[in-house]
Amino acid sequence: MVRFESVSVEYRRDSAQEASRDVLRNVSFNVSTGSFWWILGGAGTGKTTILRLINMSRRPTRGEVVVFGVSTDSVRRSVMPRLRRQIGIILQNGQLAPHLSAFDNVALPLRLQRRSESQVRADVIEMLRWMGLMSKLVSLPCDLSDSERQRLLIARAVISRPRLILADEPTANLDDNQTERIIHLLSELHRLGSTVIIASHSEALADRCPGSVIILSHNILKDAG
Amino acid sequence: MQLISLRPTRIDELGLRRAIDSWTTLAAITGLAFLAMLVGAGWISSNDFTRDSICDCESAATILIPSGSEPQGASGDTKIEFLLMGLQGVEWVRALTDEQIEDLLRRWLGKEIMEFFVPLPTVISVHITGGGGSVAALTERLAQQAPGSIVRISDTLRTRLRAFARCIELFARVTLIVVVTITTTVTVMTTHSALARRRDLIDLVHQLGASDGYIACRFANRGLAPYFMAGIIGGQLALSVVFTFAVLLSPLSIKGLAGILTVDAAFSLLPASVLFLPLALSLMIAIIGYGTTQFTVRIWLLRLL
Repeated sequence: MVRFESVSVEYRRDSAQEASRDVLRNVSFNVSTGSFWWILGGAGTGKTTILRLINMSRRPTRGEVVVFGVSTDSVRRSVMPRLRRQIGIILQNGQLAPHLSAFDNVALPLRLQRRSESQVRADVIEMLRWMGLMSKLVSLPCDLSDSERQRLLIARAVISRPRLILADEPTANLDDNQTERIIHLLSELHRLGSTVIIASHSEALADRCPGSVIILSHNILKDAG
Repeated sequence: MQLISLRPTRIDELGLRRAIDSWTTLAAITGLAFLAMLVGAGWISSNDFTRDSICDCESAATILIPSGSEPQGASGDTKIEFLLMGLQGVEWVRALTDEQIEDLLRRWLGKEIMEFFVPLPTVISVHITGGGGSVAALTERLAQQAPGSIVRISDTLRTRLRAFARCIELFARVTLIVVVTITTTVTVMTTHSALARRRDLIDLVHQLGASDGYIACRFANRGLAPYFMAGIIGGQLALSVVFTFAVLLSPLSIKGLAGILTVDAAFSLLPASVLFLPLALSLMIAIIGYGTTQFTVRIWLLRLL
C-alpha cells in the first residue's frame, strides 16, 4: 500500500549562507495493506515528514514514494484528490475550520465525497457521540478545549472510513481514558480493514497496541519490522 | 434528535462569505456596468440613427432637367409622369414650381433674379426605395427621355454620417475593451485577496481531497450572483440616463417630431435592443467574473501540492 524507496528529504534554508538540512536520509520501507505500523522517534527525526510524504503534501528530494500503487512524483493532479479521499490524516496541532461548528468540521470529508445529507448526519452524530462530543455539536472550535479539538480532528480523519489512516501523535492533549479510547478506535478501524500508521515519540504507547515498528533516529531509519 | 441548528448541505466551508469583499466589488462592477451600458446604448443608438439617416440620404434624389431638355410637349405634370411610368422603387415625385425655384435662387442671386431672363431648369425631388438599383434605372430613363439631366444624391452627408458612425463604433469598442479589462483586473485582485485570507482553509480542504475544480467553483459561484446583480443595477441606472438623452435628442428622430412625448412614446425612441442591453450586459459581466475567478483560483492552486 505504501512503499518508500531510498527516500531523502531536505529543507532548503532561506539564505544562501545557510546549508540545507536533511530531514530524512535514504529511508526505505514497505507497508502492506491492512497492517498496523508505528513510527517511533524523538522530536525532529522526520516522523511528520513521512506522514506528509504519504499524504502527498510534500515531495521527496530524492527517492520514490508509492501510495496505492501510484508514485507520488508522477501522480496526475486530477487523480490526487481521489487518492487523498482514501487517506485520513491526523496531524499534531491540525487545523479545524474556525467558522464551522463541530458537526460541520467532522462532516467535511463526507460532504467532499458527496454523501447524502441523511447519511452525513447519521455518521457524524454517531461519531461525535462515540467521541463524547455530543454536547458540543454546534460549538465552534474556539469554544472547545485542546482535548476536545484533538478528538474532533480524529473524528474528522476517520469519519469516512479511509483505507489508510495516518496519525501524528494522536493522543497528545488527551488523558489516559481518552487515549485508551482513541487507541481502541484505531485498532477497531484496523480490524475492519484500514491500514494504520501512527507516528509517536512514546514507545509505551506502541506497547499498548502491537504492530510493526519503524524507529527513526537522526533522520535515518534504524529499524523496521 | 432534532437538528434544527445544523447548517444546510451547501455550507460555506471556505468561509468565503467573509473573505470576499462583496460590497466594494459590487460597487466597482456596478460602476463599470453603468459605463458599459452608456457606451453600448450610445453605440446602438448612433448606429440606428446613422443607418436611418443614410437611408434617408440615399432615398432622396434631386433631378435637374435643363431648360429645353424636357420631352416634347411636356407640361409640368407630364414631366413628373414620364419619370414615374414603369419605374420600380420610386415612392413619390414632386416637381418644384417656378415660384419655388425663383424663391430658392433669390437667396443667392438677389431680388433682381427675374431681370436676368435666365431660363430656369426643371427641378424635381424624388423619393426612392430600393437603393442603387432604382437610382441606376432612374438615371437611365432620364438619359433617354431628357438628355443632359443631372441626378444628385446627398453623397457628402452620407459619407460624413458613415465616418461618424465608424468613429462612434471605434470609441465604443475601445471603451468596452477597457471596461472588460478593468472588470477582469478587479476580479483577479478580489480573488487573490480572498485566496490569501483563506489560504489555511484552502490547504485544509485540499488535503481532505477537494479537487482544484471544486475549490475554483466555490469561489466562482460565490461571485456569480453579485456580478449579475451589479450588472443589472448598473445597467438600470444607466438606462435612466440613456432615456434622458433619448428625450433630449428626440428632435433628431422622426418619431420624436410627433409632439409631446408620453413615457411610452419616449421609450419607443430607444431601439429595442437598448432596452434588453442591461440583461445582456449583466450576463456578460457574470460570465467574465465566473471565468476569471475560475482561472485565477486554478492558477493559484498550482502552488499547492
